[in-house]
Amino acid sequence: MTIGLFLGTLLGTMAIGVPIAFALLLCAVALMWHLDLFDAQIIAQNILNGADSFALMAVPFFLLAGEIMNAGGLSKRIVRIALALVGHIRGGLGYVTIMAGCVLAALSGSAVADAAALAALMVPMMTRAGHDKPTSAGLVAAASCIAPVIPPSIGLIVFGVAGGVSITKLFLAGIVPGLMLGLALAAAWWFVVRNSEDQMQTQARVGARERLRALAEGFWALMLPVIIIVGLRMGVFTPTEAAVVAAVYSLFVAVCIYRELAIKDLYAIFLDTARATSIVMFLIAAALVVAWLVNIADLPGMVVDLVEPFMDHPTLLMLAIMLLIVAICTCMDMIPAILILTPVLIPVIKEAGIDPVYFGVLFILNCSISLITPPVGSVLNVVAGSSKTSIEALVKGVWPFLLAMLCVLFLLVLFPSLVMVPANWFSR
Amino acid sequence: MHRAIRAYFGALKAILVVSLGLMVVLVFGNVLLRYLFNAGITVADELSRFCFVLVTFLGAILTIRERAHLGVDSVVKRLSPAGRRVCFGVAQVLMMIPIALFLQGSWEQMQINMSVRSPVIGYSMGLFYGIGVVFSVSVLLILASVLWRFLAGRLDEKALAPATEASAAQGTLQPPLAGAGGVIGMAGKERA
Repeated sequence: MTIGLFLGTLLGTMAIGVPIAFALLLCAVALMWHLDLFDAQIIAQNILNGADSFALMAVPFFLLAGEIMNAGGLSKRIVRIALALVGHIRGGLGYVTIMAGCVLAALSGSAVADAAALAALMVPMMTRAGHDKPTSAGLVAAASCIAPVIPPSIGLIVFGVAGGVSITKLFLAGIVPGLMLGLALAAAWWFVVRNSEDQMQTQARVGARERLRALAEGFWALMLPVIIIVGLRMGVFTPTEAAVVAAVYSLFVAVCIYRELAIKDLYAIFLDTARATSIVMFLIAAALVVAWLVNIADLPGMVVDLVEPFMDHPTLLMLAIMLLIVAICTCMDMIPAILILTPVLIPVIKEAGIDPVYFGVLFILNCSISLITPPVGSVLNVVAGSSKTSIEALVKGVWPFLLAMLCVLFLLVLFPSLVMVPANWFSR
Repeated sequence: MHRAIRAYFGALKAILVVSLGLMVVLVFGNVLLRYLFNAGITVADELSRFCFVLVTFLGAILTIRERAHLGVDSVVKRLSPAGRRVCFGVAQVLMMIPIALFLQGSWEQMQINMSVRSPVIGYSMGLFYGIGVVFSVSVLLILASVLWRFLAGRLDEKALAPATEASAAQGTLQPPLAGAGGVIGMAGKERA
């Protein structure tokens, strides 16, 4: 009955067009009424305290870093480095896209931001070089989906807060799976290029001096992920402090070194960041009200009873949960999916003896893949709009890369040590 | 009236920018001081969190006005125009319910906590819950304004679909009162 009410209210209100944050609040109201806890102060206290969190402050800071990065020319220089290094190989622009996707992922933490930057830079370049447009746009979309897995990642921060899991450990555990996604995309691209009929032009091989110049120009941008990862690994700062360091560093580089950002531009950048922050944070605050009531109603306990047969088979349980997440994430955006499912699933996986850090990385990886699956697939929509490609054509172009990403997910479900061994090494 | 509304949203934007800037200065300043001088800003944690709550809820007033909050449009867009209108009207009314409860709860909490002081800065915790009151009143007015214009038939058809993350990223959000001559429910980008 409680599960039915929870899902019915949530899905019903969302279906008629109520924004997800409000649907969550309505869900909370319904649960309060059902549990005989009807008190307006529960909503007020939980929603305001939900936003009053030092850990979640990393969200606006990483969003700010991403905004500054795109406006201040850091993204552009990353692409130039990748071009200088691998642009001359057959299908080189594809490898440039993947490489740039991995590096941008280590700078911004938002797939949609990366998709907007990469689509604007890479799709025209790839089509001019003779690549098929839907496939090029599909690769850009897939490469953007590495962002939520490689630290810093807004998805991992939200999961960490919602599930009470160490954000630093999640960040360090995300590095290898993120790079594996990059390698899988490179393998898929190699296969696509090998079987392609297109007349592709390769970029002229640049000399050592040009490569060094590109590296020197992009050095400051490349230092950002190094600072973040080393700082977290050495315990120099918390994820929130890492985020503010990223924002200030990006600002310094964009204003003082690259000189592509004027002080007068900052008002608009800060305002856009505040807007984006409030959308994400209001959603999180609303979800934390529901999470509190979900625990009061012992919904996780009911779910544990439902999946009792899987409890002795963690791999089977993980596969079942991953399939559930795939199904849900195809029709819901990433952050709401994390916020709704995490409080329910964390007790289940703990009961089954699965490491929450491992589960978190796979959860986010799964959500990332769903960013390029229709009908919701927000990255798919952004790239389609930016590259002026129809969704249908883009879906055809993206499927080889989607398949490659699903293979990585499947591998990580079967071999947890691929996530946990490097994660434990990084966390030592 | 229009001028007052525009001034209110202009003030909100200024508060958002200042609050976010203050958060950056306080948290980064703390990191810097800790490693350079083994010191810290005592009020940094509490004040930056207060600014964060301000950014969240005052920013949400702005984004609700711009209808930028994420929704799912896969069901609504399959409906006939009449069906879409019914869903939109029902959705507007439903959205007012939790906000009205939030207003009631925030008001009660504000009164209870007026004499309670925050641990470090010592500001009244009633102020903290007051953010909820400002948010709720503003949002209720925005939603009521949108509902009124919807019932009066002065709402653009395109405005009836909820925002998605993709539309937000592409900047294709359709404010509910664009072209309706209203200011309250209209996107800041359109008027302010």
